[in-house]
Amino acid sequence: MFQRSKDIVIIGGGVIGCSIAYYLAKKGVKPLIIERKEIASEASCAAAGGLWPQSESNGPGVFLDLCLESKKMFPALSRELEWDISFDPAGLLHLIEDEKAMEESEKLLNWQKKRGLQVEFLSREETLKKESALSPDILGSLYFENDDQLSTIDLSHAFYLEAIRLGAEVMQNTEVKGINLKKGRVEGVVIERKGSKKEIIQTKIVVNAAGAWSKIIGEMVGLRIPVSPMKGQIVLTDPLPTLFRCSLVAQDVYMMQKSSMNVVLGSTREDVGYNKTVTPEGIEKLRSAACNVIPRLKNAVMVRTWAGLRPYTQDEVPIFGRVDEVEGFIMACGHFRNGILLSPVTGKLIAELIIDKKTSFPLEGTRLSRFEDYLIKDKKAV
Amino acid sequence: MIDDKVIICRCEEVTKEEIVKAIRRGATTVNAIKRWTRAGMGLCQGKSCVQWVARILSEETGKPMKEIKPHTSRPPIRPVKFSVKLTEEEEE
Repeated sequence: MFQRSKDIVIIGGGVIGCSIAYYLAKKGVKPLIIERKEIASEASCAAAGGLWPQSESNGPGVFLDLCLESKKMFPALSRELEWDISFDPAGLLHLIEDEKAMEESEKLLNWQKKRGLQVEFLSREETLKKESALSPDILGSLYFENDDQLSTIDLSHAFYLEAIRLGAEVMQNTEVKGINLKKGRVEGVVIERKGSKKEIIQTKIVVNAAGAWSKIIGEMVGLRIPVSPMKGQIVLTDPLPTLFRCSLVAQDVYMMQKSSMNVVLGSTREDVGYNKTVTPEGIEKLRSAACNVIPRLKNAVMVRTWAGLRPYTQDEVPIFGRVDEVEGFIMACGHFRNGILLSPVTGKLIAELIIDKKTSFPLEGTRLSRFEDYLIKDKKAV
Repeated sequence: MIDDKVIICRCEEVTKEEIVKAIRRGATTVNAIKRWTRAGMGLCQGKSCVQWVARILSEETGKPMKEIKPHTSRPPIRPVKFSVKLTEEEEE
């Protein structure tokens, strides 16, 4: 069997794997990304591009802290990365459509204010003044000035290009078939390139950035990683004259008018396994909800619909860091709906963990060991 | 040979040169070229350019045309008015 060796192997060439490769390469090491398909071909290209730490958080905690930390990194990143990521500090309106939503918004407003975050309640008139295309049936909104947006696919490409320029490597169309262990330590990765024989890449460090597939990678080293695919369908319109500026988040749909002027609607949340089929029911739910919020959308044209598999964890917090039982195996998965937002902080922290052996943000609340039964005891690792 | 400046995807105004660049950056399929350049992402969803993109990919990589898969067609295939309801109501 053909063999070669690499210091660090990253499994998964999505936005997370590319970001980790970039931050590692910035520290002078040259990792190898192994990607089953091509760069950013799964969930990373089925995201709408919202950077919404505040709107996406249900309360204070590690998820919010990570999101805020990551969000802070984007303005500098957009200058640092050569490829344009269309970073747009547009703000977000969390729309209040009924009395129940009004009560929930009050709670949201209160805990976020207490936490010292920027959030403002807007009445119906103030909301309509901000976004005149909104339906007058809206009761009001919360305005998150600091929840922004960007172009998702360009972010993955920007990380990838910069990582490659700094010496990182990539093998696309290559599947990981196994991970070799010796006395509980990572020794190598067994791979199979499309149309070729299996090879072994010797390495002491493997990063699991396989998104919705990270559970399968975990099984190769005897770990039960509770990450499952959660389907999300999205819809794109034709390019439209400016309809709205802010990201809009309603009960059953969110929408953004991107720099390309297309409006993107997201997303469903379906626990249906490794299935990316677009369904009329799913799209209809988004379409009708969007038309209720922005009546003028009825004049638009639906150009494309597609779906991605987001890596879901039960507590919706990603899984980072080392695992005591498998030396050299590092987790960077389970980002669910916020892989794009969390990609900079993930790359930075994982690179710090590997190279500096300490991180600038505590990883305690994110480790795999927070889940019970994370060790597959009855099954020997490959 | 197609000239570098020829627009291959008319909806998104993508030239041959940009498609070749995407291939050199690592795109190995028509789908990846679409993600790098937006070729095939416009109103016609690649109906007019996908064959040309495949041909350029074949020329650049030496892969025969018959081995190059077309891009994934995304519903609704033809643009649909946003006012059109997509599911039928159940009859009472």
